[in-house]
Amino acid sequence: MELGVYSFPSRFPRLAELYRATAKQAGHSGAGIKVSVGTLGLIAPAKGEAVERYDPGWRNIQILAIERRGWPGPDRKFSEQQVQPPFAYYVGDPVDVARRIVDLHQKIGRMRHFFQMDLGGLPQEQFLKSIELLATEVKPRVDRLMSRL
Amino acid sequence: MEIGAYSFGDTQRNPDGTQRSTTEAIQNLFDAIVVSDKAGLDYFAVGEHHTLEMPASSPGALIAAAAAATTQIRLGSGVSVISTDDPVRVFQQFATADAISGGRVEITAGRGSSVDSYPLFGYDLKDYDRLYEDKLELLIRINKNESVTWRGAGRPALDNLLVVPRPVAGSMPIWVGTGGNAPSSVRAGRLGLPVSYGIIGGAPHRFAPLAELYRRTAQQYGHSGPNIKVSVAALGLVAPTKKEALERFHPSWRNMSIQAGKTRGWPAPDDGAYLAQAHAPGAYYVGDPDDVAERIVHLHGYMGHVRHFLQMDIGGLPQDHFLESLTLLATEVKPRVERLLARVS
Repeated sequence: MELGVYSFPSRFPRLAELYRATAKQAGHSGAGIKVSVGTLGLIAPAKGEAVERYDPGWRNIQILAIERRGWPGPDRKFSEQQVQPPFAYYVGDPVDVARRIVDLHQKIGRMRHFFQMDLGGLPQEQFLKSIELLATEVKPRVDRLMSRL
Repeated sequence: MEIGAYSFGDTQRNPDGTQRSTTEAIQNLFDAIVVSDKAGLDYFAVGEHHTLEMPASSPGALIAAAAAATTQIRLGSGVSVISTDDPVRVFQQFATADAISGGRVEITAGRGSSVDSYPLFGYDLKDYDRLYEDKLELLIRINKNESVTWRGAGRPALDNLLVVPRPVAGSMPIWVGTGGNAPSSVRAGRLGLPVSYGIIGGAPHRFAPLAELYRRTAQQYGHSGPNIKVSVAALGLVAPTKKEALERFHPSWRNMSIQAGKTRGWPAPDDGAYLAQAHAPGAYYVGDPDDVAERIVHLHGYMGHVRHFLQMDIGGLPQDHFLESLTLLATEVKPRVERLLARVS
């Protein structure tokens, strides 16, 4: 099962639990029963940079979503809150993002966490940098933290 | 003239005649496109068939992969069975491949010589003509405008909806693929689209009146210019000598004929007919580079076609024979064709 987590990750453990219980009741077990999580996010060398890089793209999609879906206007407070744990925007430096991934893992027990970073016209070089940091800096930290659990 | 190839995928056979995996067939096809690009072939078209013998069912996916692995070759479908597909999806897949390739992608829309896709996608054969007419119209509209309004058979209506991505050059070439019935030539001419003739038997120069009908119809409807053109797709195989080519292609042709006998009621393979077809003025372009080049140019005198492309990998043709044929086509046949054509004009 893939969970698209766009607001408060705290309610998702219950959904994952419901999924696993249902699978068990229906007689499914083994390698096919697993959970992955897709979230918004952006990695930069420093948390401040990540937030600055992410904010314009986030604002752009908010404005589009206002036009097309009737969302409320972009609220800086909301985005400031969402980039901090335990909220849903994995925007930060490698240490911050790795910690939050592992924190959510302890609650959901998932096997894959993947990010949508390129939205609202994010400059391509910032997208590529984020992907690189995700692979070279975040992943080894996640592996290390997980091995300690 | 452009020289190229097309394939429906060709599942290899074990020595005992059993078929190997369809996965291997797709990998072989991908490798063949990469080799063709390096050798300098002008065009490669993929699919669409839905059988164990010919498993290239998703031209858009294969072409997208090939787009990333090639640098100069033009890529297309041979054909996209537009009647049983969603033109919006076909366009999106090909436009995506077009973006990856930097603008080297084309679509050939056909009704399909096989009907496997009808039950597979839930269409009724009695709607054969209407589905094609309406869906081709939709494909043309999407190619012209990013926002589309359309109502017709086989798909929900569209009311000013956006279709992205847009092709590199603003639009992609869309060809009408036909096996040679007159209404298809008229349709292509009426719509002002280029036409691609699949000539898989008989005497190819007998298609000349169809090409003429196409050009005349285009003129009647006020279409002219570079979009009014003809290509020819045929069976064939190139080898260093004619004898080798005949020997290499024969088992493949036999296997394909036996298979088509089961599924389409073709007559049992007749070696006499094979040899007749594999020599001028027959339809199988099986030979050495001189022979094949001469026959392509001979047909050009009748058809005035701008592209001649061959299907070589049928009936479990060994992959090394396929790759050698593609390479010879690019490096030996193409320059000969150009030389011969230069003398004609």
